[in-house]
Amino acid sequence: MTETEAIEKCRQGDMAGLHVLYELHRSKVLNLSWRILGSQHEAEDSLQDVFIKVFDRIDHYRGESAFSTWVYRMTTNHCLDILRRRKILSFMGFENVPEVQDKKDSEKAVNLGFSPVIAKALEKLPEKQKICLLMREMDDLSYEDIALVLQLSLGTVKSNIHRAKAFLKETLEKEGLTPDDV
Amino acid sequence: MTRKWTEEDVTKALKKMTEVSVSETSADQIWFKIDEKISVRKNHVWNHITWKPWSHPIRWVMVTACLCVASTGVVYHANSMDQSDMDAYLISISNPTANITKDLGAANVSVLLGESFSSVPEVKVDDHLDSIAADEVLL
Repeated sequence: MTETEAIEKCRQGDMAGLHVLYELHRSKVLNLSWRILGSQHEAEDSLQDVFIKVFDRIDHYRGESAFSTWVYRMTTNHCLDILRRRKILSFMGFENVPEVQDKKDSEKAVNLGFSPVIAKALEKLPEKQKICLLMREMDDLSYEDIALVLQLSLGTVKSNIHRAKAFLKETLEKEGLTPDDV
Repeated sequence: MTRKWTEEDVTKALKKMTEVSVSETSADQIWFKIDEKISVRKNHVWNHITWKPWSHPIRWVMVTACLCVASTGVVYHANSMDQSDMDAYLISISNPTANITKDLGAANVSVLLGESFSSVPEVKVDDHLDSIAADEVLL
């Protein structure tokens, strides 16, 4: 079954169509969620929620962009919602214990597979800058695709990526880390 | 001398990030959860009864229009009822006799009140006393 046929089946409420879409896109959705949220467990929950949303909102997909772009947009919005909720909880005092936070950061660094210094620097970036950078450098998305997914202008995407890289360079130099150390 | 960071170095550092992948087993488990959640929702009784206007914007417009028409009708009906009550009240206070003649009980009273005293037969107190006296004689 092709992607177009799967989308059509999904529109008619057929779970077989959704299963084909799940097999085609689960890896991308999982990786994007993992990079934004920072933990595999949360990424798996996000994968589940995103595909339920895909089934619910398939009528809204008009075929103007690639299906993967549409799924990417949905994943990004879903993950940003989770982060927003997390910030609200933290503001209300539910997640502000420093030791827990430190532990979380180090766990995240190990999970993400690179040095804790880079992980911490990435954490300090504004969400949109971080997502633009990760999509560009890790998922190899074009500037145009990132603009479509995040619903930003091309100029904003480019400046976000440039600023994010400049911030990372500055932070890594401050920490005394050289490119050969990483 | 330490080498400075360039954009390419940052890119290389980020590319080192490992790709996460789920095993076939956990991918299947996640799929079963998705399938289960959607099936449970599909079979829910409310989904067969409730009309969901929120699934498309035009339905919102239709629902709002229906509510507007219904509420306007109710307000219009209430206003017309109030107006007819007010009309009836104004008529009753501006022309009381017209109202009285319509009322049968009140019309009788007015006829009686309009009659002169001469037309009412007089009752003679003496006659009454006499009859009582006659009764006493008979007894």
